[in-house]
Amino acid sequence: MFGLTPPDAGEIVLSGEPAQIGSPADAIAHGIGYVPEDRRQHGVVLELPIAANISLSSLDRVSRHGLIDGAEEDALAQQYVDRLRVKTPSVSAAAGTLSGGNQQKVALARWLATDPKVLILDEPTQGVDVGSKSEIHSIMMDLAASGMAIVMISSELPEVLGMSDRVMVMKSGTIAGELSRAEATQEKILNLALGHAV
Amino acid sequence: MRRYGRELSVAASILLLALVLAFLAPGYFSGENLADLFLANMPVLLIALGMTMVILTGQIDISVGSMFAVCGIVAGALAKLGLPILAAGAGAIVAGIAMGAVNGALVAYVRMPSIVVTLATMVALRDGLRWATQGAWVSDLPPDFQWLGLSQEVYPILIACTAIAFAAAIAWGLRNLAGGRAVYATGSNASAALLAGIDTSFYTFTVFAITGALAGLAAVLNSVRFNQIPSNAGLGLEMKVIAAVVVGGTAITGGSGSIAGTVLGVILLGAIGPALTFLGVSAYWERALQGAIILAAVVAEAIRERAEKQVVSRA
Repeated sequence: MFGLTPPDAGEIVLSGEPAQIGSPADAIAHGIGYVPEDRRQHGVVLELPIAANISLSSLDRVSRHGLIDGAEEDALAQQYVDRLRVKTPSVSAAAGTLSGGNQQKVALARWLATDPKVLILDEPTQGVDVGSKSEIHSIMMDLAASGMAIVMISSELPEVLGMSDRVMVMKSGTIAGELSRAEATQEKILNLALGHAV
Repeated sequence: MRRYGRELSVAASILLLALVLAFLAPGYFSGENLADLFLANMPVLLIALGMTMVILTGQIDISVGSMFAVCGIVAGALAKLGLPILAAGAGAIVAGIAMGAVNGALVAYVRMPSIVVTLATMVALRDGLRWATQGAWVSDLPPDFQWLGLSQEVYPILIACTAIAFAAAIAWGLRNLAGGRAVYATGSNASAALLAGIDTSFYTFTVFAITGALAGLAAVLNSVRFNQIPSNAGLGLEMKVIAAVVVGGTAITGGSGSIAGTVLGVILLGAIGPALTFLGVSAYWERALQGAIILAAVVAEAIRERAEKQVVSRA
């Protein structure tokens, strides 16, 4: 969906228009953001400053003809650091100096800065401390309330039940079933995931 | 991003060396010797600028010595065909870009390890050149080829300006251009950079092509100093270049380093060899001492990295 692996089948329809997505850059151009599961491996660039991490997917927003405006970049980063309450003395600190939860917020901030229509969050709270976790949850709620479509991938049942309007249960790479918020219970989800009849 | 620790320690080493020389061998600082030193190390400096970017993206290019030799011969051959020196020089640089692009395409798009690709092109270009020239040097060059048709006094000033301009431009670009940011991000965490929408393959390809261009430029500027162009130029040049970049503090694993560090690394390694001669130490020690400096740099890097990891894991 994010253009990393070629699709086997199906099509992507965004706001009624079919979209061709062949690379992450295409996906970003279409307003899709993806916060990956393993933030150390695929999320934050530990050696770069926080500001550079936040602007990484929206460099054209803080630059003109490829020339980065440092002040504008810092201002953009500071805006998201404040909004997501990232605990750091400065946006020029290396991202590697942050705690796991704050690194995850930086990864999230990068995508919010692209102003996406659809945001895919892959296990957004895995390995994140309890405080940051509820903060990330409330940020997701705010974003959804402001009209952003959020796709959360999670293997944590309470999180799925607490956050979702619609639950798609996947089993070995295919969709095993769909439940509305009202129908969704721990039992039904597990039944679908394990392949029992509902 | 780390602050200027490595740049300062290399600068301090250069200063120490200069102090020792000022007391024991003041002749080292004669204009003639310094100019010689600069001209001899100019190719190392120009190519090291490109190599810094290659290493920043997490790759390596060991074919630069061979590209340097091929480009020198191309410049000489074109000049002998009657082309004006500027056209011959441009032809050699285009040849450099083409060779760098082949390296870059194989690494970035065919996804082969850069050490294997550039080892192969290093050997292929070197032996291809030997076969093409039959080992003969290019001589009887047209008179305007010498010193680019300039006087022997103007030429060093021209190439000093060229080298400074390139170093400043690349340092500035890495710091201020979106492309420079992409180079650091690619080397620091390629998959995160890709997911962030950066065309990591394009930047990897581009830094190899730029390095080829710089090898071409270095070859042209170097070959006009002599009245013959050897077909075996640049032997071992890749090691000098990589050593200077590593001593200058660029992490061999990519993602961290600076042009300022590389410039200082070139100065330190370039200055130390002749200094030994001036101090009356046998020149045989030169390579051993250079090796020791490189080892010290690599060990310092490993210690720094370990300390940094501990800070991160405690946070």
